[in-house]
Amino acid sequence: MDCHFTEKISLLIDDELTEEEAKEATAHLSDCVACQRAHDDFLRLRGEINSYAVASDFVAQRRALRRILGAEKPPLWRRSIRLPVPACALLLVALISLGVWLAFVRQSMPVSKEAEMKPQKVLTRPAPAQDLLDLARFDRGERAAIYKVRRANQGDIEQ
Amino acid sequence: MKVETRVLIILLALVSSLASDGRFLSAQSSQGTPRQPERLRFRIMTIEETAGQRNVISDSTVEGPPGTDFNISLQGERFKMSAQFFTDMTGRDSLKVRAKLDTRRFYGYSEQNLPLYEEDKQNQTLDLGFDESVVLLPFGRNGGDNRLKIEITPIVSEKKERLPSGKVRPLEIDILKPSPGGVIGIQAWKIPHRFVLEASLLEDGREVARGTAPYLIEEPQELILRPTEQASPQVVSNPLAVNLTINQYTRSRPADLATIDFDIYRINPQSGQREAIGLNWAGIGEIDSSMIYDLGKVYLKESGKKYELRFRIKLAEGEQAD
Amino acid sequence: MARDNEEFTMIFNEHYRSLCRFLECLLGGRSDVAQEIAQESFLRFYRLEDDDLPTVEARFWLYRVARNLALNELSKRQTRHQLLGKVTEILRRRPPDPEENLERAERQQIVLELLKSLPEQQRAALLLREQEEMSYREIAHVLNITESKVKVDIFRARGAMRASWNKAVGISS
Repeated sequence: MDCHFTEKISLLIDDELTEEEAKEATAHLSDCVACQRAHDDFLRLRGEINSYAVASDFVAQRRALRRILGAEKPPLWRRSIRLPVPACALLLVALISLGVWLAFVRQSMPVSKEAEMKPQKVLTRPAPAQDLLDLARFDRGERAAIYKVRRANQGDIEQ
Repeated sequence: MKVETRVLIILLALVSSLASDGRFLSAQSSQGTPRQPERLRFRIMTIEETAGQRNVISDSTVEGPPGTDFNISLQGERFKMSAQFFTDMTGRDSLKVRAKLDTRRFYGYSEQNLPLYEEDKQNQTLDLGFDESVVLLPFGRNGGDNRLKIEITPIVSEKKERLPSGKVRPLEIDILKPSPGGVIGIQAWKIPHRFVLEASLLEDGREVARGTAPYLIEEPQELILRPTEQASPQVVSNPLAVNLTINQYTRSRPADLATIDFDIYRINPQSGQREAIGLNWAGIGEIDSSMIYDLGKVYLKESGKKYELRFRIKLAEGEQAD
Repeated sequence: MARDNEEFTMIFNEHYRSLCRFLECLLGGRSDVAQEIAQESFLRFYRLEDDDLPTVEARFWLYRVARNLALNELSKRQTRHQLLGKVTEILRRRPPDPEENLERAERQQIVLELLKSLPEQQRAALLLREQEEMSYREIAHVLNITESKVKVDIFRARGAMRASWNKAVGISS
């Protein structure tokens, strides 16, 4: 049978009693067999729950981290670039000069109709990830399939 | 023939047998009959097919003794697949491959902004020759312009079962071409596959019905317990059957453990129909030891007798505990 | 500004495994789903603006989000009524030698089965206390309940697990 004090024992092992309450609980514990058993059982259960171990898969952990960081690179305009002031000034001057030079060159050269029509899509197409196989491009929501083929024919001759 | 000559001949025969790898006992049986290969290799190639063009994404081999199992996993951002392959030799040139596919596809968020997944499970058994391959299409058959394909090809290995030191050659996984970012993973293991299950119905500790059947790991199978001569008319008119699966095998000390799941049925002797009297029973027991279940609450309750179900799982011939 | 990579990596390495363990126990041993949810939680954390959450709060935020994500998973699983029966079977099948220790894997399975038999909130509270060593106040913060509710939940969880354990091994409490 449990003693009415057992709840206090639960709080005692969790360090959730005031100093005075803890003293009282400890004193009770030394006299009450039911509470001693509860105390031992609670600590044994703590040991059992605490010894639960997950498999140490550090490769998967690293992969998970890389995936999060890789998938979530902030857009360029949201990244902070810290350059010293002279470098910034130099960069600004270089950009303005480039812009002026480009405007001059464009005016002096006739623009062909063909070049004007050409869609400039190459840069906007996302480059395939270097280190990850993008599985999404194969996925059209279909169910996986498994079958056997004869090896003499490289094409799939389903059996 | 003189006694000395006979002794000499016997000694010579023994010496020559021992010299030939010490397998004098099996030499006779192996001569003339084709032997099973000592090691098998499975080549696992992941291929991207685009308009008939094949681009090999990853290439690996798993090598081990007959009965080696392996798992191919695919870990994408939104799609995960685990494909377990249990393999068994069924003849010199044939294999039985049991595949268990589990896929999990992320398809969006709920109203409470929680992720939702579509899960799918498939089991397939294929009888495979060494001139055949298994094709696994994680994303289905009609992939449009490009599709992902995993080819699994069994090959007879030239390697011996044992290393020159006499130790059993371990399983080997060779990654010939790793998949980008480790998206495709391969694991392999070797555990016993074939078992013999003995089941007995005990009445006050006395066997009154029994059944024995060969079992394959992960394959559910029905076993009927036939009444023995000692069975009472009540037991004879209430025969039992169990539908049991040996679903796990764990290496352990002092003995390995088998995990079982089973349902118990009472068979109607006239119609043969099964009436479930116990569902989803389970347990873990040591190989070659008894596992006893009390049937008091489900079988012939009014009889005043104690009924128990006893199982004993043994390894089938040729299987090794370790 | 989104979270700094270095700071994020530090938090990830510090809490990832513990979060996986918490989720695995909460979900009854489904390690693959636990890892997915842990990753999803970290991804959401990474997306947070720096100003939204101080780093000291990260741990509690992660456990709160992860637990909410796990709730969705749990609601999909059918309640199994014979869990205790199964545990009893596992334990009763052991040879009656008291000196023989149960294999670690089997013990883990038993702990999981016993945890599974608890209501989810009690289970979460007990796990945060026993594995993560959070105070009642911190648990209340993560689970969004009062401290007194945490107190009751943990005591009830312990009582239920203790009774199941003793019943399973045949000891009267």
